[in-house]
Amino acid sequence: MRDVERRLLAPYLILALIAYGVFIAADDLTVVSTMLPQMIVDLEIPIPSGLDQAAWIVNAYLIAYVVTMPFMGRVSDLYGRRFVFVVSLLLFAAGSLWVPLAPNLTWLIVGRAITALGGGAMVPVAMAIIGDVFPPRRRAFAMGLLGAVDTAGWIWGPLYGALLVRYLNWRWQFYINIPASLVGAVLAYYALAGLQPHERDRRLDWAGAILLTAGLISLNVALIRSGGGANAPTSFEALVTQRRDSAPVFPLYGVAALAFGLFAWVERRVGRPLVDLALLRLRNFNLAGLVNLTTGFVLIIAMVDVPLFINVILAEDVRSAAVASGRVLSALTVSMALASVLGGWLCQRWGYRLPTLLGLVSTLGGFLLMGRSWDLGVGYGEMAAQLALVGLGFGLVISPVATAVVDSAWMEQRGVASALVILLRLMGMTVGLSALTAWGLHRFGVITRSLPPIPLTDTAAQVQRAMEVTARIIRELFLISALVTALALVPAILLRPRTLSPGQKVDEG
Amino acid sequence: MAKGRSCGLVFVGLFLALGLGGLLSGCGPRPTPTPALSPQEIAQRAAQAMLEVQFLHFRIERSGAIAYLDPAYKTMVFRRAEGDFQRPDRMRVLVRIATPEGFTLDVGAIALGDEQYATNPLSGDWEQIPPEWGFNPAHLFDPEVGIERLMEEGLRDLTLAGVEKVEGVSAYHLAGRATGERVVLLTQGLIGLGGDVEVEVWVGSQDFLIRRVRIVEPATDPQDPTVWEITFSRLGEPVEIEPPI
Repeated sequence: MRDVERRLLAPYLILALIAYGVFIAADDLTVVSTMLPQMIVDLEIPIPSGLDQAAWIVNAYLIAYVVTMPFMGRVSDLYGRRFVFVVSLLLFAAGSLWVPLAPNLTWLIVGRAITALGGGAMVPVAMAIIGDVFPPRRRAFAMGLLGAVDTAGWIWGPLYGALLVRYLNWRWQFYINIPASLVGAVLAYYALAGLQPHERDRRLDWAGAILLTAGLISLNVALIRSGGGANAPTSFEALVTQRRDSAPVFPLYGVAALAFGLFAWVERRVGRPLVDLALLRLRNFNLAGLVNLTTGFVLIIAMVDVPLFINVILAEDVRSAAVASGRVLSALTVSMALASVLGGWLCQRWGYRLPTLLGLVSTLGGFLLMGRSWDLGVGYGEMAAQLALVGLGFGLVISPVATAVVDSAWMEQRGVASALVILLRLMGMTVGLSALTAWGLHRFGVITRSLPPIPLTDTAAQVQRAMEVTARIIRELFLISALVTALALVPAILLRPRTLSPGQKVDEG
Repeated sequence: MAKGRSCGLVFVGLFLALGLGGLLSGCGPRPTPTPALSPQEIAQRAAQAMLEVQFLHFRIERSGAIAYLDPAYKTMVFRRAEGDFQRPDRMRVLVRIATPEGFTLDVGAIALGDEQYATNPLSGDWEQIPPEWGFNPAHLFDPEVGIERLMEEGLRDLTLAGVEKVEGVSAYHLAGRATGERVVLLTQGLIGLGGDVEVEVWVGSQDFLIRRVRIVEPATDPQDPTVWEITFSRLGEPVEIEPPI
């Protein structure tokens, strides 16, 4: 309890002040979902041939977020929560300045990555801070509250993005981030003054961080390129050579496999590994990780495909589509937030397994309904109701899964373990987005060619066909999401009842 | 002796003046040399020089007020294009267009006279399209309505605006006007429907090949008129343009 004795503020006040930073970073993760169509228009990203490039607006943030989390979680164990949290907010501000000033898509993607390098650190550090300042019997509830704030950021994101597109411009999201994150840095500096680093050994596993980064990037690039993209020419050179611009895919998978293999080898040998692979011997850690991986995979599908569906199928213009998307996605995110608190409470009473199973069943049901009913005639009310079912499920799963991992890890590994929980969910999101973007583009070409040809000059029929094919592909993606959610039931069933980590006393705190 | 000295001083003084003047003229900005040709003669030479060009690469950029590829239907807004041309009537081009909602599409097109092909925006596959939907590039270099004819007699109020560097080449900058009808004939209705246009042409000062053409359509929007910028390059470099299917 040395950390608790040294803190200056009450735990819940610390939680409130750091949750502010978490909220800002979480908002940035989902705000792009409703802004993306307008960004595609403004950046002149061609459709459908450029949609794999557009996916990187989301993916760059996710990958950088994923890479940062285990690394910065470890850094916070070594150099202190305050230092890492404040630096992260400053980095977030820097990236937020970069994005709207970017002259083209490539530089915008770089800016998104910089923003995520800062944003990605805040949640695991915040979760570790909870472990430092809250006694064990109150951690689950505090985690639930933090999860609710994190989810509130996710809630606010799509609606906020829609309002910006409707009344201002997507660039204002990033302009507003700058003062917001600077305020967060000041609050965090004040709130975390009493916390001290846990370890004296300040070695960092740079090799591990680099190999993990290389593995994640090459895996996602390989996944996106695996779909082949749309067949339309993407450049004049491609038109001349009649060849689709693309790098070979299989070597990228090889690079990813090599990077991950070397990462595992390095982590077993280095003195202070980025990820203590001994964590993988923890049953609940592995099972909760698998659940998180699969929930992330399907969550991103909903976040990206709902606005896409509304833009292509239902709405008259990009601005009204953004507002409609924000409203409909709010059904998903509001239910996630409410259920997150409920999930934490249920976890304290019933353990990890039951709320997790209930949540997965709810999500599975929602995706099944969406996969069967979303066509050209679906109404916004029906869409929202089904998304609420999906969101309820996600919310119930978040807290028990996170608590299962933190409870099973050693105290000095809590930062890394917390990061890995979310890392796995975000890895699921990046893999889900990349794989299903590739799948969607591939299916678009296959389905279009399988249908009776329509003269190019019949533009009305071409538009109608584009809408029908897009709706069909999105329904397929929802059904795939239902299948993946069903797979997550297996590790959820195998979760063991609640336990404390070695060294923890039952009456501690 | 005194008279000789004074003569010598005058001579030295004159020498110094001439040398100093030469130095000064060398240090300061050199005046643009006035070409011996009039703007009309430059335009005539450009027309003749372009007649010899069998192949070229072009880029077209549009800015300002919207211009539709299909003015009757208004479903395709022209943004830019890049392509190759082979005299007399072969062209391949990648055209970037925008839908009324603002989404961008890239469409490939190949024209072999009246034989026209385009890529389907959904599938990316090549399809043959009716001649009236495409653009027959033969018009660009038609003896009656093409670019050379425009340069010879279609430009009014032609002036020489200066000598500039374009695409790394020294070029005469000509400025003038053309009637809308004249440009409509040249571009098959893409440019000039609204009325008279302002034309600027950059002609290579050594080879008289056209490097750039800039057309402004004031009638489209007085505040922000449509501006077309066409750049020519790889002049004379052979290309092979074949049917895609």
